[in-house]
Amino acid sequence: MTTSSPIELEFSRKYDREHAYEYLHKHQHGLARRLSHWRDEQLARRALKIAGDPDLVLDLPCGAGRFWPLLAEHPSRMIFAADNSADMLAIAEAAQPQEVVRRVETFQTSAFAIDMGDNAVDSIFCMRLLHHVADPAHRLAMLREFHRVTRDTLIVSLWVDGNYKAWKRKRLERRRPARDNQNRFVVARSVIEAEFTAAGFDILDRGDFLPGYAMWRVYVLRKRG
Amino acid sequence: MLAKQPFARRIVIAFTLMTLLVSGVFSLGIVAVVYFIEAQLVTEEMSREMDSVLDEDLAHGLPPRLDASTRFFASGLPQYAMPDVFAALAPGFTELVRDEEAYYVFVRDVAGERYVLMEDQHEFEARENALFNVVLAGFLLSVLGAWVLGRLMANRVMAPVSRLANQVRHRDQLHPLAPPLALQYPDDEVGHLAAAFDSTLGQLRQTLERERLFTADVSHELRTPLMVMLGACELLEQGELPPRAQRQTARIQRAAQEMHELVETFLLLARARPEQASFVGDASLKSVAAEQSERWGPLLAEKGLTFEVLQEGEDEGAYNHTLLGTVMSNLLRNALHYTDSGTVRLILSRGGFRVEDSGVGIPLAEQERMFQPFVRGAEQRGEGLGLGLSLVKRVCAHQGWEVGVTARQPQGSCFQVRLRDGAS
Repeated sequence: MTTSSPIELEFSRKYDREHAYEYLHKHQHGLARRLSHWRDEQLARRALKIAGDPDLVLDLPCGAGRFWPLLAEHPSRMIFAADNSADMLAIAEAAQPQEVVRRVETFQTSAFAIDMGDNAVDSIFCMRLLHHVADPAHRLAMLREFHRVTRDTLIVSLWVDGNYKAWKRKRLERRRPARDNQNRFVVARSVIEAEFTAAGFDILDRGDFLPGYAMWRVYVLRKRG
Repeated sequence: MLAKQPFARRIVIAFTLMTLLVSGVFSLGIVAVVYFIEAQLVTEEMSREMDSVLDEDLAHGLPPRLDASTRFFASGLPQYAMPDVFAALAPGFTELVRDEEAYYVFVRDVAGERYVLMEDQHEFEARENALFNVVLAGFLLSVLGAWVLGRLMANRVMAPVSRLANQVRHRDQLHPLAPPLALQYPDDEVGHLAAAFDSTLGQLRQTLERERLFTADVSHELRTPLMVMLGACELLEQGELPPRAQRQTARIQRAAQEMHELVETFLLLARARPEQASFVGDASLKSVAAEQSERWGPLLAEKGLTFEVLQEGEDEGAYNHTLLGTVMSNLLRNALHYTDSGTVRLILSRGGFRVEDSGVGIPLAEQERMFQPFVRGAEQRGEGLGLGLSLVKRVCAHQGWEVGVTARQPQGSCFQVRLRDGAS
């Protein structure tokens, strides 16, 4: 366990109770949102299958627990869910179905210093976190921490370049400089893949949300050696 | 060869070998049958042709009507003079190679005369070769097919085994809440293996837990009587005692104090969970060293050894008092036991300390083993079970410290403990 002070990022401070509540409902409103959630689930299901249907999964950050029902589809799976925000955890536990919550063990932790031993889980399921981290050193620190805690695989989603949306975003930023409170970032595919390798992961699979158009990409990684 | 290969490759090899054998036998069979049928058919045909030449053409004084690739010879007819090679042939069908060309030869003896039909094999050979090519291609294709199929099958067949092998890796470190492996497998051999693994790991965990509890209980229960002993010794010291009894009381007190510290150490170690961070420190290296040298100094002097405490650098770290004391006192006791004459030095430096002695030293081969429980130096001396260094090692592993031993010249050994990174 690291004794140095854990890394804390600005975006993680916004998830208070009110924000968490909004976040819960974010993925339930509107056809587009629901379609996008459906596609997210499809990608996640595929990623879990490729990761060998792990039976001890750490959902980090779990947010409002929108992937819990999906994770609980596997009959013998045990789910750990962690988030940096205690409010978020409370909302998740209240919002998700009881029979799902019963199979989830929640705890509050930072992704940079996970409160678990080495090789403690079969897989870390990390949806929509890495795109909040801009500094490569922070990303590497987080990946190293994941490498320590997972015994086998890591599933991460993030924004990558090489598609229409990323190109549009870049063009927009060139015309109008990015605002200061920007908290989501696009990473070049070659860069993030090199970082995965540096952190000690092999890439098993890449899944694009909408190939060629959307920035979301899900990586399935396996711990080397 | 088969036994040394990985499982999946063994299946592929078995698959391919099997097909090689079966299709090889079939191909050879086809070749043999082709030769046999060739002989049969050609004999029949040439015999018919000979009949027609002898009975219809020659009997009517006509020249034999033959196709371009067939020639006729007869021993009694000068215009069809027979080459000598045919004279020695047995009657019937023969294959003959002449001027690098293959021929079918059909010999018939009628009333002492010999008639011979010779047919070029060109036409048939071309077809025959085509057939053999097809057979060869079929053979190669089926072997290749078997290899591909074998690979696919092997991966499918092996999937549960590979999955299980992958899952048991580092499983001891997995969170205890992990569901049992056996739930994910059908009730077959792999499922049984998974169940066996589950139960073995469960037993192992239980045993470890029991041991931990036992150590904690024993240590806890021993504390009270030890405190009674220490208190009694203090009371005795205050009373008027003859010098002899005073010496003995001091010894009892020292032993009880040592035991008390050991019990504290064991209790700390037993209560510690692996995932717990190291204990918060409350003592400086200097204060612990002062305490320990006060305790061991007189004993070393009693044995006629020089004891020095040297300070090489300032250390401002804070460490657990009991654990650091245990490590240092065990190393000093070790130096006391294994040194007959000379010097014992306790050297404090930045982020660590060393204990050097001029004792018997430890052979290179034994240095690794020294830190295992119940291993003692080649020359056993003093009381003790050889648990001291193993305890040192355990404490260090728990606290994230590093301990090592090196030999000193001309004799003696140096135990080095590094408490923090970035310092010697």
